[in-house]
Amino acid sequence: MSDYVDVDDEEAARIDEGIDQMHRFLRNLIDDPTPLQLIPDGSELQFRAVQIGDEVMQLTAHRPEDSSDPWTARVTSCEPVESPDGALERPPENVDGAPNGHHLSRCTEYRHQLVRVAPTAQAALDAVEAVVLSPAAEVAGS
Amino acid sequence: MGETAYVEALEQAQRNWMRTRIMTDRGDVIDFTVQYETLDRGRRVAVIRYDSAHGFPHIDVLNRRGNVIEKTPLPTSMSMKEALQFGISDIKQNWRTYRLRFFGDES
Repeated sequence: MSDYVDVDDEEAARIDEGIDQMHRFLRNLIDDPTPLQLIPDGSELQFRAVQIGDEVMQLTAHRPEDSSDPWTARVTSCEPVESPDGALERPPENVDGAPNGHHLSRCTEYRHQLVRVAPTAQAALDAVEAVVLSPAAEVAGS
Repeated sequence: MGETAYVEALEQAQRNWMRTRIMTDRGDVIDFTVQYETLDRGRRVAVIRYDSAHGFPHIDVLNRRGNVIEKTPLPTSMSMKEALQFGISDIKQNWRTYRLRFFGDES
């Protein structure tokens, strides 16, 4: 007996989005390997994209694969909304680390600094999203 | 140089995954695997895999026994980074077709 179950269009759209998110994560990992030091090898990942102004933040939650450990979520990348579709390149950065032509953004401020831990991936991502969407700035440890 | 492997559940039902392994050196991809996995008879199994093992980027199509039934090299003109991008794009466009073919293949 196989586990074959047809996938409806709504679920297919979520899978497509998940593949896009992994693509974005890898593209940024190639250009900026910082997450390699923060997200252990062998981790299970969950992603969420949050748009603020003209930037998209990628939030990444991780925990060891096949474990019941809590999830840790952080901001792993910041990109302009209109990035080249599918290209494994990202715009050059200025001295502030923000995409070229942008001033130091809230996203850049949060990237790798803001960390939240929760029992589920969704809860950890929710906690990070709540901070980045809040009017008051906050960074981990503050 | 850094090598790392990650897996992502592609939906809440935990029936479809994307597994990646990537080795980079100063911004260059020097080795990679990206594969689409699904659930079959309670086991997580690979359906299609793009990787650069054996020294050249290629596509492995697998059957339900876990055997590679088709190995297709990617054009040698592709860099590893381009091959990785091509693999992810192909999986995004065709995962449903690969999945149907996988479960239709009882050989």
